[in-house]
Amino acid sequence: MSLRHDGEVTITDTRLRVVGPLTLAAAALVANLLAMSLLRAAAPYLELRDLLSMPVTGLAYGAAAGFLASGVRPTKVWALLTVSLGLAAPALSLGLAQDSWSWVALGSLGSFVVPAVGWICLSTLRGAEPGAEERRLILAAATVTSLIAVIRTATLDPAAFGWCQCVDNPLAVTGDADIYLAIEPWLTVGHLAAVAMVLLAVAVGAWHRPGRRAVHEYVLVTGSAVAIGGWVFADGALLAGAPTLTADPVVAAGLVAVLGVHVTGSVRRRPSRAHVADLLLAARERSTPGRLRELVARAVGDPSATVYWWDPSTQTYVDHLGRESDADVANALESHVLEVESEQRPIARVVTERVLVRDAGILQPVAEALRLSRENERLQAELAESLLQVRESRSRIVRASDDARRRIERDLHDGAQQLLISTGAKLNLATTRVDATRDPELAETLADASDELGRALEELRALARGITPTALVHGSLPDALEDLALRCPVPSRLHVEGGGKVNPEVAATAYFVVAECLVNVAKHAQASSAWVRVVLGDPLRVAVRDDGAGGADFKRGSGLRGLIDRVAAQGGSLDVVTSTGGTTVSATFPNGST
Amino acid sequence: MTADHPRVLLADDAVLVREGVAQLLRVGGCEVLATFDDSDGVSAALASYDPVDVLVLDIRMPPTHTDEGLALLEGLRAAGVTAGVLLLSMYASPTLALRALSAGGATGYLLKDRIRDGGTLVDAVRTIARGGTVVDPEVVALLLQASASTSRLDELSTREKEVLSLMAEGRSNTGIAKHLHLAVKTVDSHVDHLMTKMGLESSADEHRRVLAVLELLRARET
Repeated sequence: MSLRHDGEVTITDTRLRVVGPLTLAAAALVANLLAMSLLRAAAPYLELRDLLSMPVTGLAYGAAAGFLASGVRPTKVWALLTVSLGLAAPALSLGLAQDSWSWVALGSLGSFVVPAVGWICLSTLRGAEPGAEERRLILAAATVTSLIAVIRTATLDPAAFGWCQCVDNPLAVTGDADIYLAIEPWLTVGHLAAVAMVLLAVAVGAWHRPGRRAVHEYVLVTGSAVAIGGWVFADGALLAGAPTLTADPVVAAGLVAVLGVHVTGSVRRRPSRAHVADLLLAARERSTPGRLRELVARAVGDPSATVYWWDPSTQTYVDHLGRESDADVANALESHVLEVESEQRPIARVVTERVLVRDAGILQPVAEALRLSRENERLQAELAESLLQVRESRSRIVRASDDARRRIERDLHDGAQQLLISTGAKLNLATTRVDATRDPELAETLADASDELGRALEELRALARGITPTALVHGSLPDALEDLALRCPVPSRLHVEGGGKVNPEVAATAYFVVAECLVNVAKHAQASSAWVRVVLGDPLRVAVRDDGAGGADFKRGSGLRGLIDRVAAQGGSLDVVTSTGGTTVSATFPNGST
Repeated sequence: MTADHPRVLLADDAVLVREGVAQLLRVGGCEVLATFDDSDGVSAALASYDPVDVLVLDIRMPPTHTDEGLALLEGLRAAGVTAGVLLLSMYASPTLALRALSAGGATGYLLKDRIRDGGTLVDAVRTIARGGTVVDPEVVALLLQASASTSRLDELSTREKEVLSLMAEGRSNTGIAKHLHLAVKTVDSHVDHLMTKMGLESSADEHRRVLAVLELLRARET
């Protein structure tokens, strides 16, 4: 289903669209008035009733076209104009019969009334353009009608045939009445075929229209059938050389009925379509169910309309106040319920008190808006859910890596480090038992071994410090940060504010942030001093400032980048401000007690 | 008790280290009264082995493997126990050293690495038994390096800082003189000067030395 309706929803180029139809409407009005006066002068013997019915109906169509075209949203009024001019044509033609060469050609235009009325009827039924099948039928009928008009203009010359005291038709290629009389039955057949196609199109359109039929729709279909049938009859009579206008009042009545239903339908639909646009916007912007209900009610023109949303978990429809729809729907007639589905799955249902306007231009967008809204909601929920999952999994990864680091450090401490230390003790004991003067070589070897052991222990200690904040093993976060500041080659001072417990994971992260920052200060900042500030509490904040050259950049592969994940896993944030006066890195963490 | 044969209780959860330390202490002339693999039994043993000169405690012991040794020290000091305590640690942490020394006199903080250095361990135990204070040289070096721009230590000359750091390691003036190849009298005068500069004049000698070391440790505090 498409939401676009050929520019009727857009407001651009409105003026251009309005001016053309308005001009033509004015021309149609003039043509009908002219036809009236000409016919009156040419045929004073005619009854006023017969004389006026067609031009007056033409005037009504022209006026309606002008009225609809000048509305807020230009409507397609070409069919109305065609009818209007088509109605004026025979009257004009007859009026001009004794004075103008163009009367036969003008009169031929009258045939276009048939497809035009069919088009009006179909677009009224659907509330939008006729469907593809119907459109093809109408276009075929219009083509046949055009051919008939051309052939008739080229072959009919009543003056030459001696049928009347009238002006010659210079467009006729022959003055031979026999040729025309030979063609005429075929023209009638073509005419009947066009009529059949239009009536078939109207029937198809009426059949395809969903929902129950309303009175005005019967009026519409009947009116167009009468108008089309009557027109054929009258046209046939005219062609047969018997210019009787007795069928005209009937035709006029059918035409007026069609016009009436069409105009009221357009007028009633117009404000609702504006509301449909509001509804679509609201659906896109994730409005509350209450607000959507309000807009749906306005769009379908029933203030008491209720929107029930399908709840897959309970398999029920629930409205914006949480009420279930069952009783309401059971009592409602089919004509009061709009079911909205997406790929066979229920989405929502709209239940009204008044009969729903069976207008595809409204109900389809309303359904689409409800679908869109639900789809939006679902996508947002999915997004939120997957974001949560990502955050949790990141948290898990960081926690698992921290656990692993702690285990490694503990293994080092309990294993290799203790072994090396006890080895050191044994070496030491051995050294005391060696007489250095008697066996200097052995003494030296032992001393070397002890030195190497010392280096090994130092390296192990540095390694353990890098794996996990060993200072946090036995000290508080400020103590650990103090040790860090002490180890920094750039003179660094620690400033502590606040107090209270620190979540161990937060402490480890804060420690890593400060450690990384101090490493950066020592490596890159060309600073003479650095300051570490920690504010204990919830949230916990740490900041490292230096007076160096600035230019710290997250993106240039600094170790800080690796910390972003770790900080984010704690739900914290990392912020870098750098200038020629130095760099400040600050991190904030929620410090919930665990 | 005699200064030559300090009576020692030892607690360390790593059996190899515990035995190594005990053996070194015995060889060095200490009397190792009992050894423990955690901090629990130590308080009770203090009474049963009275008098005890020095407790040698691993900082990180069961059950939490964090700061049990330090907590025991603080608990003993709070209970009025004046016996010396030497804490053995795997890490050179100035803040831990400060915490240890803040608990009171006759306290030391030594890296376990020192166990392989000749008589360092035994010397430290003897110093503490005498009521002295010992801070691991690596910790002292960290403090001196970092405190270059802070506190009253600014006023000290390089030589005086050198002397102060050796003091912190628990050496006597004679020991410092030997280490720096100076006359004992020269060291005496350096010590007097640095004490004056640090505002530590009118106390008994050993206590003054403890205060000087604490000052060194606290230089970072503000």
